[in-house]
Amino acid sequence: MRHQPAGLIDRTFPYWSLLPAVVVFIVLSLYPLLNLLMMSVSTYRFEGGVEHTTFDPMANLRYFGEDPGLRPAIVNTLIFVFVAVSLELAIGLALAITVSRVSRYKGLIRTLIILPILVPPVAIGSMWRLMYNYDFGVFNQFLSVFGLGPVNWLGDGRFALASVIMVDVWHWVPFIFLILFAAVEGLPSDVVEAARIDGARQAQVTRYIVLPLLRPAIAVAFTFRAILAFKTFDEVFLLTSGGPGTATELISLHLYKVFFAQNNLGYGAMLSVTVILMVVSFLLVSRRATQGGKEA
Amino acid sequence: MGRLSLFQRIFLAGTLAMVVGPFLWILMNSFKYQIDIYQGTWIFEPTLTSYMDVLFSRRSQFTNNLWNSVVVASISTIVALTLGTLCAYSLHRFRWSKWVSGGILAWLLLFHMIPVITLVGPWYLIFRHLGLYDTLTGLVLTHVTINLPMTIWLMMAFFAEVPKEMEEAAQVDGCTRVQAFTLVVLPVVVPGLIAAGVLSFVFSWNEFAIALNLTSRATATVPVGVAKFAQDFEIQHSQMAAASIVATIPAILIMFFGQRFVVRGLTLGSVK
Amino acid sequence: MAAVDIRNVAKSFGALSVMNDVNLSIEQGEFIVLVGPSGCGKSTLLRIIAGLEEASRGDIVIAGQRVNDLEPRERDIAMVFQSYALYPHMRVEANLDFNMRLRKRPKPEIEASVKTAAGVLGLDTLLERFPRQLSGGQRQRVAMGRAIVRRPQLFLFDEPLSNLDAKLRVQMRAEIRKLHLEIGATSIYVTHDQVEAMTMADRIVVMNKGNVEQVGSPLELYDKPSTLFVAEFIGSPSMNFYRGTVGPDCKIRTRAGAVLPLSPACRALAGQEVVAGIRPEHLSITDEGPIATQVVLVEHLGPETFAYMEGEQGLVCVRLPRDASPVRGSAVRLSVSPQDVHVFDSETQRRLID
Repeated sequence: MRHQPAGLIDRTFPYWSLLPAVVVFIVLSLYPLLNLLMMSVSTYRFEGGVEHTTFDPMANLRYFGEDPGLRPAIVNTLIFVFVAVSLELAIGLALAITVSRVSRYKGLIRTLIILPILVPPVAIGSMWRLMYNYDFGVFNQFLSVFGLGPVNWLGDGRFALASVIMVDVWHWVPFIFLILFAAVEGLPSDVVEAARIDGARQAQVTRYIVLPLLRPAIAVAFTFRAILAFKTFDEVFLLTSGGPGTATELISLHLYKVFFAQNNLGYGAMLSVTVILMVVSFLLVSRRATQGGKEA
Repeated sequence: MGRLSLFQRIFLAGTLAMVVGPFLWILMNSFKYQIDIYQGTWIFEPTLTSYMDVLFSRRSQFTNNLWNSVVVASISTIVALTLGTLCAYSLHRFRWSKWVSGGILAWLLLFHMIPVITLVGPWYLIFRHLGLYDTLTGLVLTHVTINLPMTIWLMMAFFAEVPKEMEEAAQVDGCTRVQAFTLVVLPVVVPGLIAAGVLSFVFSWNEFAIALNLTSRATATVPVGVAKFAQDFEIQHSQMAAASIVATIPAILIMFFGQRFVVRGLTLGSVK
Repeated sequence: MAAVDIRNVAKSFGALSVMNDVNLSIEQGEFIVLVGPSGCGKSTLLRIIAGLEEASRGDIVIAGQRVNDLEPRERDIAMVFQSYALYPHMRVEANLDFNMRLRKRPKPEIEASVKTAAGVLGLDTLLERFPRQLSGGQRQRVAMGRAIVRRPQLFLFDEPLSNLDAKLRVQMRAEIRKLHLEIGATSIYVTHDQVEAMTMADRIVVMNKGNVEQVGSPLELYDKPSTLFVAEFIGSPSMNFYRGTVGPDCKIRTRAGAVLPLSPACRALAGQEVVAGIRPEHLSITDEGPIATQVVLVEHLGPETFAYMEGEQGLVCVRLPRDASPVRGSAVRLSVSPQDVHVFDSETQRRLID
């Protein structure tokens, strides 16, 4: 009653299971990235369907100085990421702890809260564009009840970035909430009970038990969210396309314009590489910071 | 746990109103005539005009967009799930050298950090060479690429949850490696497959930046279609509202089905 | 059913050696128990026999065939895991006949085998359930059933009872033993529990730090432990030990001054540093015994009573008849007869006389 010896398919299983994904990565992510590096040191233009490539790293470097949109884009992105992510973490965390203490309809509340993540960002952009509308948007209607406004939410350079951040907060608080809520629910209940027997009030339980135990989950939520925030494109594209002027120009929008509106592939590529380095170094620093905190 | 304080109740109620309010407002506006929207009325005669216009008017490409999105999201999800699950299992189960597994995982992480928009340029050039520019195939390939890291992480977390002894029992019971994977391990990680599948599908359904740049009229997906209503010279507000609602429905339906699996997946991923 | 030969099997991870040249011959139909503290290599050895791990050196021979290069599925073995490792997505019946279905056995044969095994283990009414619907004891039975359905050459057990509560463990211990007597298949059983080892084994293999310390029947190990480790490991409560030097008069002088008698065979050991071991049941309370102690604790277990006494060399355990009731704090002298003193070399830790 011997079994057949392992066949070829079985013996090579470790390899053919890994291979397809690796091929996809090489062809569609590694190669494009190398391509990007090449492009960033070349001038690269499409004219009549024919590519003209010349190796000229200095040309693209020169654009850095000549690009008036670059500085506002970087500044806006940093403000956007910092403010939006901080707000989202604070609200999401408060929400997660609050909902975990709800005794009834917990599941329903969770389902309602996570709705915004499911909406296509483009639809979020168009929804909020309607709500922000100067003439008939719900916000100005609301203000007019109190005899205020109207405010040109997206058209006024003073409000535009804040309005965009507001949309991002609406969109992504649910994401933070979902991760932290799962973490709160997963906390060992005996630890919390022990603290209460030790005489801690609810606020003290939160302060001394729940928050410290949530630290790893908060770090994960922060990292994930910060990565995504750097990539933000869709909603802002719909809401303002970076305007008015450069008030809401984010780095991803700027890249898009350089690549596809100005057709400046070489500079676009160099800019892309710069953005990648920015994101990676930001994450390395923040990771160092969160890990350093853990040891303390 | 304990009961909510008054402050917590207000906070929760306010948040829920802020989350649900915009949906209701948009839903309301999608049933208005354009003129009612402009007047900002709260009491109006509901109409399906906007929906009819979005879905069936001859000018609108929306049904075409919907079909493209269904095709792209389904196929890219199936492919990403297949490749990602196999890759995750191989990395989890077999003793790859540190260079192979570490290299792949590091690359996934790096790739995940890169803003998608930076890769659209190179993809555009590659697809032009391959004749895949402006095809659904091209779009599917990019969505597969984007979704693979998440699928691989999630499935590795789920595979790590399968007791090693279960697979050993299968081996002793007479399974080949492939059989141990297909007959024992895979059925056990079905929740993970659902979670990864739901997230992939929702992502692909919602994806805009790539679709915007690699498709044209015939191959555009739903997000590109929605954006179109906002971008035309004359903004069609009621259609914009209706299109947003239609675009949102599939993702919400799928999430309702898969929510608890996704929550479990996120827990596995974030607690570790 | 098959004989198993383990020849010079060693296992190391890089420079770290976890098992050194193990040699063991297991006869057809024997019930062998591998026992030792955690990390002693017993599970590793079992997994090497199963083919779940590779030996760094040496050969595993099952029924005369060298199986080193065979996959676990090709070795015709069955294994019961500590966590049971039932397939959670299959009903009990599918769990039981999984192997036979994989081997594409004819349907009537599968059904008959499942029926027999289910009958033997009392699983008849549970066949339609999923593992999550079973109690711990029932899961354990299914795991056993999965092994016996297929009639393998060799049964492997990896601490199969350690997840059960104490009462069920005693019951399953007897049942596994009974099953073995009925089926008669060669079995290798890993446990860290010396009571399990003593009650179940035809022969026990005591392992420590990757080495086989001693192989023998339960009574051989109990009566003649060949190393200090085995002496300490087998038996509960544990043996009492005294360090000392053998004098020319065939007596051990412990450091604290007690004088223990030895059998005349020990004359050759004069002057040697040794460790003397005495089991609790071999100590008795007498007025002029050589060991002076004070009673600290008395445990009445019902059939017998154990008393713990503080002596010059630490705590000593003495087994007393059930009604004995020494007063706590009272001074007591203990004595032992020469043939009940086990003597071990304090350097090599090996047994010195038989």
